Amino acid sequence: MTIAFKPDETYRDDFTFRNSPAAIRRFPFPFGEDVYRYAVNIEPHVRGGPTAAYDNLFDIDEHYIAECRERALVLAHDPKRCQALPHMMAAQWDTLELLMENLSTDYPEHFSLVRDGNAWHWTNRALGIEQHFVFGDAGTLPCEPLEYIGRQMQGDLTLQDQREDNLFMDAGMVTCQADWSLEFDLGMKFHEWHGPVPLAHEQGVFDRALKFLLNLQLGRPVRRLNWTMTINPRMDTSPEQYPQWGPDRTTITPENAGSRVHLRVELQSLFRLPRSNAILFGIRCYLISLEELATIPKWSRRLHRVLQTLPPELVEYKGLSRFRDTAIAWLAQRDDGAPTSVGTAPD
Amino acid sequence: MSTSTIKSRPVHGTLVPDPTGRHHIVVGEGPGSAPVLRMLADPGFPEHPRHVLVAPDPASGPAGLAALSACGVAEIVPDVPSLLRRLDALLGGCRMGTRLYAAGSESFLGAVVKIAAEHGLLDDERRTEHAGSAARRVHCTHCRHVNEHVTANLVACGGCGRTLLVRDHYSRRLAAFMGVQADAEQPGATPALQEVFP
Amino acid sequence: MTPAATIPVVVREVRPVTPLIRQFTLAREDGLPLPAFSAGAHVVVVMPGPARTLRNPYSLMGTSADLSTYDIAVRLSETSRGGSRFMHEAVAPGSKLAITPPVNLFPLDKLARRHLLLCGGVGITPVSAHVRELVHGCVPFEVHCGARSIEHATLALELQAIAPDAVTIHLDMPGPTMDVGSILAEQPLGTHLYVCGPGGMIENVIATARAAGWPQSHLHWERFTAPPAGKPFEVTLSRSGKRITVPPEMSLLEAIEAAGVDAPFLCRGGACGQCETTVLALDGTLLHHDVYLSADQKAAGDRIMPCVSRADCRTLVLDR
Repeated sequence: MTIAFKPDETYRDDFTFRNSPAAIRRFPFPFGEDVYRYAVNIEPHVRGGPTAAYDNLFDIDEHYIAECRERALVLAHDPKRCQALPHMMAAQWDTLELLMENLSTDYPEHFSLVRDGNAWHWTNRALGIEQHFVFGDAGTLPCEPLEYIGRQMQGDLTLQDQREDNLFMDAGMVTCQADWSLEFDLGMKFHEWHGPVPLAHEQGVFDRALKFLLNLQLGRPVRRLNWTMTINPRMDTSPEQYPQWGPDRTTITPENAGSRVHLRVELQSLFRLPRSNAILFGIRCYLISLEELATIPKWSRRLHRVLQTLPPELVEYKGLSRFRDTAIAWLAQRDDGAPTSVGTAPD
Repeated sequence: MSTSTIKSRPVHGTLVPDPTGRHHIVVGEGPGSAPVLRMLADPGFPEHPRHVLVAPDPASGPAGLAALSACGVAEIVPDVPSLLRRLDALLGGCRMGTRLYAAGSESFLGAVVKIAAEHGLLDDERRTEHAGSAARRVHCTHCRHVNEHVTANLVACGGCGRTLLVRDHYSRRLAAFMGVQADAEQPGATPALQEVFP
Repeated sequence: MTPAATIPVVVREVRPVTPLIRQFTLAREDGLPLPAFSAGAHVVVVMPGPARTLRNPYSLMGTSADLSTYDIAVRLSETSRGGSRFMHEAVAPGSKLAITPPVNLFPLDKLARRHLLLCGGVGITPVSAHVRELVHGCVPFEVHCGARSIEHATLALELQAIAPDAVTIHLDMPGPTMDVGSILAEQPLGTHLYVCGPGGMIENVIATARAAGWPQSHLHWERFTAPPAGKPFEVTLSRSGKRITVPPEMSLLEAIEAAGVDAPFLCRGGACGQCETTVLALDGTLLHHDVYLSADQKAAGDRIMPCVSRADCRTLVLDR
């Protein structure tokens, strides 16, 4: 099926990004019940799930072209959003292979890959790219493999080397992150880059998650959802750009909350990579305004209830303090107290 | 954004000999000479080959190292940059079985650990003890300037001039703590200035 | 995690490489390329034995440069519980087997400044893959292969042909001649040590390394040990509601699988922790043979690694 792209949308300045009704219905809504509960919530990343966002291992949607352009803008301003330590070259090629194979298989109208031994021919019709290259020879691509394929993907990518019974974030392309910095976190161990997350360390969450991921198997990826809230449909909420987006948090009023407050969901997927034994972490970001969310009454009711039960540490960590009450008040008008159905799928 | 109980910051211990090592390198900076002396005097410190290098810190100067020079086993290096160069060269010729011990300020320990990592030393081959200044190196997230010797929760960035809040998040690769603009959301609304890393 | 789906393979070639070791070349039945892998990875070969399904882990010897086939080498074990004997006696070109996707529990450390690899006997198989990867890199490496005699050293000679300056072969005459102590004494800082071979060799090398001051973080080894036999015992699997008997020559994991219950595994050698199972009730003693659980965890008696460990008990109830 051909996706109707919306190439002119923007994620900055005039913020013309909007979700079509179809894009709203495929949103990976993260809350399965009416109260907030922290859980490791890792599950097999298999095709199929509550919405169409789960139909493929790497999801492409109507925002693809606009998001790739936004990524290019971020990289032009700050090339350090894509970095790889020297020992990660094999993992970069693994990533390129995994992504090209999946995109060309799942979206043959838009992508194709022809392999003749190590001579590869990649076509990305959505972005108008055609490339002949030699797999394993970085000199035959215009840039390193991670950057090459990362520029053609929705969502951030990080690559973790496995050694010392730990995972090290030794490479990544990160342009649409929820307030963490690749330049700062590059080279860190699992517990170090999760350092700023409150509550979970004490509950042993990261110990268990690390143990699980060290045994992640080839061909058996896993996923989890994470979420926060962002003012305006802004992809780049990095610490680097905090001076640009931080002030937005003070601008929310009862009148504009519906259009400007966005639920930001990350569909995070983890893959064991074959040649490098590294782990690919995909962080696919979805944005939806409260107004768009409220077209699915179950979701606006539930978000209202979840926001009310969020622990104060998480309100602070997720940066919601300045506008949570306004968002709750906006949602309260759309919560008639009716019961919601089990699960995250729209009614 | 605010400071919190973050797990990435380095945790230093107390210098005690590692009897499993076969060659021992001990480095100290200024007030770090006290832990170095204490460990050298430890009857459990093995008789294996050892190198002891100590440099004065700018605050207390060479006078602070008098006790250590008197004991005769340590080589006094003029300053920390020379010590770090010596350490780098020394590690380049070492064999497996070497243990590295370091005592000094937060910045000194960060620099030593970074050099050790470049030589392939892992966590179980080195020990650190904090002594003297808790001042931090602070990496400005916005302009990437590194601000040396930061003693308060806030610092005016030497690169971009923004007032940075010093977070507990620490990068061993950069040997620095993270600094982010303190009043980005509301200009001028910064937390109270506190000398938290004297 | 439940066990991965297996890949049906056909044996393309069987090559006797030493009096005790046969090398098998495997290709996918459907002709597609096999999954890429990293040096040090193994697959578990699923063999349709006469009495029961046999599952043994074997290291992949080649590289991902050619994924039309995988090569494994199998040493005929004097105390074979069926697996190596089946491979040697019942498998010929054209035989059909199944394998799990590759798993790497013995990878090279990517930040090592030097690699030192010591192997003995059939323990050369993962090292074969390591060397084939290392010759393309720029990190220095050194390999020492022990073999009984020259006719047992075929695989070592092949490695020496690939990396003549790096590979040394030590033939037993009559006892082991590899001077581990002097090899380990002169290694520069940042060297990582890898050992694969008979249990006694691994223990000796690791003990020598520790005595020479090598820290744990630089020591890597892989031991493929057959699960030890023992007295039969009865087990209740509470989640699946089954009661099984573990015969003397079968492991607890194999008995669980034979009962049709899916159980997770990766190494089948008591090293990786993947098959860890909670003990819900026990009247007797657990016989831990794994190297994964700590001494305290073993003493607590509330969990077991069924791939190698057994029990001497009247009652054992597992959460499986």
